[in-house]
Formats: sequence, structure tokens, C-alpha cells
Amino acid sequence: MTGAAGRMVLVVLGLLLVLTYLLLRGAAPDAALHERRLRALDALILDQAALQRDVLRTSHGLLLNYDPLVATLRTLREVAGELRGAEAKGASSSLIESIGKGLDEQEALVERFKSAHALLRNSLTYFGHLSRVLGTSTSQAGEDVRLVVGRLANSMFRFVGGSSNEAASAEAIALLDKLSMLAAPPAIRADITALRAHSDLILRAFPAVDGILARLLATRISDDAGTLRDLFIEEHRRAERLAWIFRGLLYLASVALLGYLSHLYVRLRANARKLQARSDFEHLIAGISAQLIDTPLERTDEGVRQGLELLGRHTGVDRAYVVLQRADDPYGRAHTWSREELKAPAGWPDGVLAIGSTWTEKTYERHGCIDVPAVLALPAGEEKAKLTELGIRSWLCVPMWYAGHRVGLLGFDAVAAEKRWADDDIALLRTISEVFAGALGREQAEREKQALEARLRHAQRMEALGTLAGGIAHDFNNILAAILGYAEMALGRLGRDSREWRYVQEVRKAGERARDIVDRILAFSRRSERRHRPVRMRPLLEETAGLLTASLPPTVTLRTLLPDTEVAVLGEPSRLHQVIMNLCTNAAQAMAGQGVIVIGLDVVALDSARTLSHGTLAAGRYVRLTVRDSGHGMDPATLERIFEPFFTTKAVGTGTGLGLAMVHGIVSDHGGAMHVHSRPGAGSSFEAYFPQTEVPPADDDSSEGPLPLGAGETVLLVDDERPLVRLGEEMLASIGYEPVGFDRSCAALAAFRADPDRFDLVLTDELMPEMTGTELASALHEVRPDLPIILMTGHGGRADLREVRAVGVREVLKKPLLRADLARGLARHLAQQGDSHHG
Amino acid sequence: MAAACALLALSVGLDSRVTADANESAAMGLAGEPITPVPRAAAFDPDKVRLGEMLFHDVRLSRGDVLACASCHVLADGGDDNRARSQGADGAPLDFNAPTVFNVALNFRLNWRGNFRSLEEQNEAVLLNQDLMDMTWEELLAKLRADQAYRDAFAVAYGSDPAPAQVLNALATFQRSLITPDARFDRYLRGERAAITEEEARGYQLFKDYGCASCHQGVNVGGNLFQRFGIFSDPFAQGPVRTADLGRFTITDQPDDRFVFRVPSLRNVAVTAPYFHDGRAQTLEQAIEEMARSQLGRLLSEQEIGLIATFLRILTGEYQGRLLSDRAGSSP
Repeated sequence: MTGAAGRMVLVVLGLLLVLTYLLLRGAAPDAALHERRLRALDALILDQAALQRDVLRTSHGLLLNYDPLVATLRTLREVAGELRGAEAKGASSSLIESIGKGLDEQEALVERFKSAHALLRNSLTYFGHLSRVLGTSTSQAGEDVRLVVGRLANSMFRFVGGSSNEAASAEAIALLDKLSMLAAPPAIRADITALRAHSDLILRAFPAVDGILARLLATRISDDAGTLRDLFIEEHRRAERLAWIFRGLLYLASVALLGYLSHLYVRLRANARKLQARSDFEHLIAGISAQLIDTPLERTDEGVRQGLELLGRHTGVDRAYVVLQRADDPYGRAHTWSREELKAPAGWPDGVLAIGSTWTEKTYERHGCIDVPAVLALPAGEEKAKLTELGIRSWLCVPMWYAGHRVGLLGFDAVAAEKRWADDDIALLRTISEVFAGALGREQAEREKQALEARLRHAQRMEALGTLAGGIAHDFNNILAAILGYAEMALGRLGRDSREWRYVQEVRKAGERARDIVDRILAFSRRSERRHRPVRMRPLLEETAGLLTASLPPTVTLRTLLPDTEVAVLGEPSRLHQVIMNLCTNAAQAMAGQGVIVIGLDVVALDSARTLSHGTLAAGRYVRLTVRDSGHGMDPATLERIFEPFFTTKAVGTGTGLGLAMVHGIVSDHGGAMHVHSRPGAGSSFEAYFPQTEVPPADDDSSEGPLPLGAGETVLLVDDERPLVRLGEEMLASIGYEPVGFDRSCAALAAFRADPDRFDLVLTDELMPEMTGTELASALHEVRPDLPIILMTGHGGRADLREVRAVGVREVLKKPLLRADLARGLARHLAQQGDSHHG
Repeated sequence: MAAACALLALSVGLDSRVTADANESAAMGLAGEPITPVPRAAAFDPDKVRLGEMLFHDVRLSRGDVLACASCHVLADGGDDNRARSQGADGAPLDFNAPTVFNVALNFRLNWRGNFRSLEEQNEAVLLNQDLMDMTWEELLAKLRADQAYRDAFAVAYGSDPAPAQVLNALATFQRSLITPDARFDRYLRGERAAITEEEARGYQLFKDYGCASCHQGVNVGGNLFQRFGIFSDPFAQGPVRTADLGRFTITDQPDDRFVFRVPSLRNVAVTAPYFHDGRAQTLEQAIEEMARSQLGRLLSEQEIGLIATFLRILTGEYQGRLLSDRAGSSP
């Protein structure tokens, strides 16, 4: 810019110099000088004429004094001075010199003329006077003298008069001779002498005067002056012509200057317009920014769309759009605007995102954007083909960045005609792309925040429900233990085919169902403290699918999509089994008994933490179990509460409302999370994520065999509830042990201390008023560290197995106790004990 | 436009020329007289005239403050000094008789030899001439600048301090103003027939008939041509010839210019005795007699001389409304 300004200043200065030069050269030749010269020359010529006239008049006696001559000479002198003063060159200066010289000579001649002429006139006057005096009859001169004087006067005046000069002069000389011969009276002798003297002078002076006169009249001064005049006029005309040429050039230079100024003006206006346009554009962009900031987050999409429309209309493109790129759903969302009459082609604008993300033509990159002013000019290739397919003639692609990540692009399509973008525009569009990215990013962040808050609320609700249900389940469990225990004992005593046996059998079955429900509640409340081990998922899934196929109605098709390789999670097979069963049952119910259920299994690797619909996952590798149905789907409100216990959309009586709650509890218990997406009428997809673990070596689980029975070993049984102590004693006795029951832990400890070696094993409840099972175990081990202790727990209780192990607890059994479980657990620990103790 | 102006100016010039000719004719052509009257009024800048008059009468214009212009050109004495030859600053007699300063502007050349064309030239020569004022410009200007009265007068007349050009101009302007119109003969020429007597008219007739008017003609009755002193007899026959007697020859070195002098004006001749370049003639009558002898080759009778002298006396004009006089006594 500074360079341009400098050039401009130089051009203007140069033009000014040219103008000044032309002005100086174009000035009219000094008209006053010219006039003065001409007037001087005219005066000179006139004065010359006057001088010659006056000289002639004088010589002919018409002028009686020399004042006019003197005056004319003075003027001529002044004129000559003026001419000499007037600067002249070349021919004119030599002419002026010659005129000056001629004038000087002429002046000298005039002086000589005056002197000579005065003498001549003096003599002529006196001659005339004397001849008159002598010639009159009254004179004293004689007749002869009078006669001669008269004839002399005659010839003399003839001589002076100019006709037959020679003859007149000869005659006068002869008469003068004759006069001198004649005797004259003394009285007139002096007159005669004077007459003779003056006659001589006349005869001598007249030719001299005549000669001077002739020379005066022959002077070439006037001719020279005339020539000089012509010369001056010619010179002046030339100078004027030159001046006209320069004036013409001056005019042209002025026109050029005007042209240049016009050019500058036009450029200035163009610049002003450009600035105005830029300013308008900046205003527009500022307006869009301001509007987006003011727009409530939930209306951001609308704000972006309006911004795109404003941009599109202002810049004159046909389509404007923002395409976002999302990690979870590639080609996520698009905001578009296009002219009303245009129909969006297929694959627009998502296809554009792909083109922009993989752009290869580096020459079209400008300021970090892709600017294709003419798609036609693109080298043939996939990009050109794609753009052409989308009907784009000019394309501008501005990448969108948010929080250091490329989140999408802002694109402008010219469809009707090609469009060129200015650098400034592109810079501004980059700004607006940041604004859009910011707004959309904020909106997304807000949405995620809201989702997290919902998740938190959900988790809190689940926690509360879990605690409540856990408490209830514990009490129920104790009740059920009594019911089931006594029912079993009653069955043992009753005859198998008796009516009572059947009744008690029904009581036991109902009790078991109740225990099942309590189990589910406990599963949901995550109070289980089962030991997790690596579980191969594929066989589990295959086994469960087999069971399901048998139980599902034939109108429901079950498909499994299993990975080729084995995957494993850390967990409990039976509970994982429950998860699959519950999800499939739920799916079958969602399809109203007709449709396709797809069970999928795959591994997902997460680079970063991810928020799911019902939980969050830290980065890591997860095994994903997917159950997809083609059912009626769910609305968002239902989706949010789907995992709450007792929440059900089914008719009363068809479900417990605990199935999915249990799934959620089990999955959470396994360190996983649930993700559900569903739309009303479009089916649902339940995804359960479990942390992946290494696949364990193949082993065979201990199979169920006959119940190992005790050999009369003494078991110390402690429970704060007396019925349960009795039930326990009955159960222990029935499987071959010698039970010693206490309903107070302190009493039990005292009995043990009294005779520590009396007991082979301790079975104690955990939750007791005086001393917990753990505390008791600790106290017992102080006395006898090798004593095997088995802990019973009603609901989840202490989740920390390690803590109870630290105090010497060998195993934790879940209440209500089952005979088989109890028999196996006791047998396991007494066998070891027996090896070490008795061995 | 310019051409039109030039044409206009030219035509005006022509007109004025024609008018001048007409006036000329009116002044003498029609009257048929060789002598024309002195023009009455000429406008001069009064400030310059006043300053010139101051200078003219100021002895400080000479070395040693001994001489003023007015020392040799006594206005009250007919504009000359009544000496045969004037004295310079050193008191030595000069070469020539001092001509009158009256009507000096009407002469075509100045001084006896006609060696100056303008009063400015002549004044400067007199100022700087060692035999005359013997002044230098440096000295003169210093004197003038030292005088408040002069500084004021110069400031008024020229708007500047005293400078050579202004000094000369002031002097010349004053001298040009020394014009003596309204001589009785001029009134006669203007048609006032009764302004001169019969005798004076007869004297004029003789003046013309004897050819005197051949040289003494024009407005200044002479002063407009050169002429040789001594045509029919040698006026220098009696004594040794001085260099000054060679007249114009001493300037031009032309043999024809020996004894040639500027023909003196006869205006106020009655109050400017003595006469001729060397002041050889003490009275008008002697001068007339000398002229008749040398220029006419004739001895005139006393009666004729007297008549001509009578005529010459009516050429005395007025300065500032007063007839010129000569305190030396040769009254007109």
C-alpha cells in the first residue's frame, strides 16, 4: 500500500512538473513586448517618413525652422533606444544594429543638412535682399549693374530652383564675372561685394545641401525597419504557434491528469465499496455471532440454520451448510440452507463432509480452507466427480474446529454460477465457522451435561431403591429361611404320598419362588458378593440361546452373531446367564411374540471415556453383548426409567418389573454399563458392556454329585434369631453333623473359650446385635487360628471378601441356607481341616 | 484583442502625430514665421521641482561648499553669471561663457559644443568635473543624507533616500521648469499685433531679411543646430586661437567641426550678456555687429544694428510671472 501511495505521489509530482513546464512554455509570447516592438517600428517608419518630409519641406523653404527635425530626431533616437533595449537575437539583432547605425549616420547627416541649409538660406535670403535693393530703379547702381544683378538673380534662383542646374550655375558664374568688371558707385560697392560672396556661397553650398538631401532620402532605414517588422511578426507568430502547441500539450497533460485523477477516484470508490461490502459482511457475521450467543442452547440448531441462510443470501451462494463429524455417529448432524427452488441432491451434505475430510488437491487450499472456484477446472478424479454429482460449480469448504478438534465443516456451494471468494471473505468465514463450532459445541456439551445429570439422578434413584429393597429382602430372606427350613423338615417326616406332604411341598415351592424374587431384588441391589471368575462368553451365550429357543414361541426367531474368537469377562456364569435370559425375555415381550431377536457379541475398544444412555464407561476394552429386537420400541421417557425396579409398561400381572432392573444390577456389579437406543416403532437395542478379561484355560467345573454328609463333627452355629438357630441345628443334624446352637454371639464365644477343641467348625450369621460374625470370627481365631469358620449373610452385607478372609472366614454362604449348599461348603472345609487337624 | 489594441494605439499615435503637425502649422506655418512662441504651461512634479531648486542653490554640491549651480546660473541675473567666462570651484576661469539656464530644456543639445543631449548627463558632468563642482557621489550623498531636510524632501518626492538618479532627476526637473513664456514677441506671434512697436517690427523684418533667422529660428530662436563661427570673416584673426575656440571639433575630431558651435538661443538675450562662447561681446550691439561681419560678411549700420537689438530685447520672457532682468544693468 505504501508502495502504491509512493507511486501515486511520484505520478502526481511528475505530472505537476510537466504541467509547470508546459505552462511556462505555453505562456503566450510576451504580447506587450511584441506590441512595443511593433509600435516602435511603426513609429520609426512614420518618423522616418516625417523626417524625410520635413527635410524636403525645409529644403523647399516650406519649413522655416528646424524644431520639427529636432523633435523627429529625438523621437527616432528614443525609438532606436527602445529597439536596442528590446531583446532580440539573430537576424533581428543585426537589423537593429544596422538601423541604429543608420539612424546615427542619418542624425549626423541631418545636422550637416541643417548647418549647410541654414547657411544656404542665410545667403539666399541676403542675396534676395541685396538683389532686390540693387535691382530696384531707385538704387544708386547704374542701369548696367542693375541689369546684370537682375539676370544674376534670375539664373541663381533657377539654379536653386533645380532646373538646368549646370547651365544656371555657369550663367551665374559668368554674370558674376561680368558684375566684377562693371564699375559700380562707391555707395553700393559693399553690397556688390556681399552679393558676390553670397553668390559664391550659394553656388558652393547648394550642391552640397542637395547631396546631403539625396543621401538622406536614399537611407534604407525604413526598409530595414519594415524588414525587421516582418521579422518580428514572423518571430512572434512562430513563438505563438509554439505556445499554442505547448498549450495544446498543457491541455493534453491536464486531460491526462484528469484521467489519472478519475482513475484514482474510481479506484478509491471501488475500495470504498469493497470496504463497505466487507464492513457489511463483518456486521452480518457479528450479527450472527451475537444472535447465536443470545440463542438459548436448545434453539442453537435453528440459530445456526438462520445464520447459514443469512450468510448464503449475503454471499450469493446457493447452498450453505454445517456438517458435523461425531465420534459416536460419523456424519452425525447437518445444518443446511439452500435456495428455495433448489432440491438437495442425494448424499448432500453428508457426502461433502467425506470429500472435505479426505481432500487431496493441495493447490486448492487457501488459508486452511478448500476453495474451488471452478469445479470444472479441477483435475479429473473422484473429487471432481463427487462435486459434480452434487451439482456444485464452486465450492468453499471451511473446516470447523472446537476445543482443538476438527468437528466438521462449513460449506458453501455455488450451483447456478461460479463464485469467487476474496481472502477477506474467507478469513471472515473462518471466524463464523468458529462461532458455529463454538455454539454447536456448547450445545452438545450442554446436552451431554444434561445426560450426565440424568444419569446421576438415575444412579441415585437406583441406589436408594437398592438400599430399600436390600433391607426388605434381608428380612424376607430370614422369614423364607424359616419357612423353607421347616417345610423341608416337614417333608422329611411326612410320607411322600400323603396329602400333608403335598401341601408342605407346595409351601416349599412357594417359598422357593419367593426366595427367587428376593434373589432378584438382591441382584438388583448389587449386594451379592459372589466370587467373579473369568467366564467364556461364547459357550454361555450358545447354551442360553439353546434354552431360549426352546422356551420362546415359534413365531419369534432368535439369531446369534458371535465372534470367531473367544472372549471372556470376569463374572459369575449364572448371573450372566440371567442377564441374557432377561434381555431376551424382554425383547420377546416387546415384539408381542412375533419378530426377530438378534443376540450379538463383540469387543469394543474405547480410546476415551464414553457416556452411554444408562451409565458411563472409562476407556478400555469391553465385551459388548447386544440384544436387538424388532419390537415396538420406546419413547425417551420410558427409556430413561427402563431399569428402575418395578417399572413396567406391561399389563399388571405379566411381569414383575424386576427383570431389567436385575440386568442393570448384574451388569453394574460386573463393572459394566448399559446402553439402550430405541425409537418408538423402530425396535430397541440393548447393549451390555462388560470389561474384557483374558480368556481362561479350559477347565471343567465341579459337577454336581451326591451330598457329602458329615461324620458327626461338632459345628458351632450362631444366629441372633432363635428360629433360624433351630432351623440350622435341624439342617446340620440332617446332613450328619452335631450342631451346637447359640442365639447370642457372646454366649457362643464363652462356650468356645470354655472348650476350644470341642468344635470342628463354626457357622455364624454376620449381622448380630452384640457382636458381628466377623468380630466373632476374629475372636475365635485368637484362640484357635486353624478353626474353619463359615459366614452366613442375609443380604449383600460386607462386600469385601478380603476383609472377612483376613479374620479367618473360609467361606460366605448366602441365606437362606440350602441344604445342598451347606453340605458342600461344610464338607469342603472340614475335609481340609480333617487333613491338617487329624492328620 | 491585443492586435486591436495595438491598432488603436497606432491610430491614436497617428492621430496625435497629425495633431502635432497641425499645431506646428498653426504655430508658425500659417503665420509664416520662423520663430514660434514658448509654450506657456508644462506640468512638473512640484515636490521634485522644490527639491531640485534646493539642490540647485546648495553650495554643498561642490567640494568645499564653495559653488552651487546657482553660482554661475543666477536666476535673478537672467540665468547666467554676467562673466565672460565662469569660474570653477578653484576660482580659475573656465573655457566657456556660462549660457543661461532659462529655457535650457528647449535646446536640442547642451553647452556651447553641444556635447550633452540630456540635462541629467550634463548635470552629472558638471558635478563630477574637477574644474567645476569637483564632487563625488559618495561625498555628495553623504552630505545629503546627513541633512534631515533633504531626507524628508527626497522621501516626499521619490519615496527613498538620496541617490544619484534622484539627485540628477530633481535637478533636471527643476531646470526644465525654468521656462520663460510670454515675451512680448511671443504675444505678437500669438496674434497680439499691438504687443510690439513699429520699430521692433522693423527690427524683426531686418532680422529675417539679413538671414539671421536662418539659424536663429524655432521656439528657442536658435539652440536647434550647429553652425560655424566665421563664414565670411575670421573672428579669431585678432588673437591666438584657444583650444576651446575649436568648438565642436574638440569633441568629434571632425575637420568640418572646427569652430563649429551650437547656435545659441536668443531668448532673453538682452539679459544674458556678455555674449559668445568666450564672452567677447559685452553688449547686444557688439554681438550683432560681430555676427553680421562673420556670418553675413557685412558691416551693418548703427541704425540697422539698433533696430535688430530692439527686436532682440522683446524676446525677454517671464519666469514665475516676472519679466527676467539683469542686475548687472544691461537692462532690456
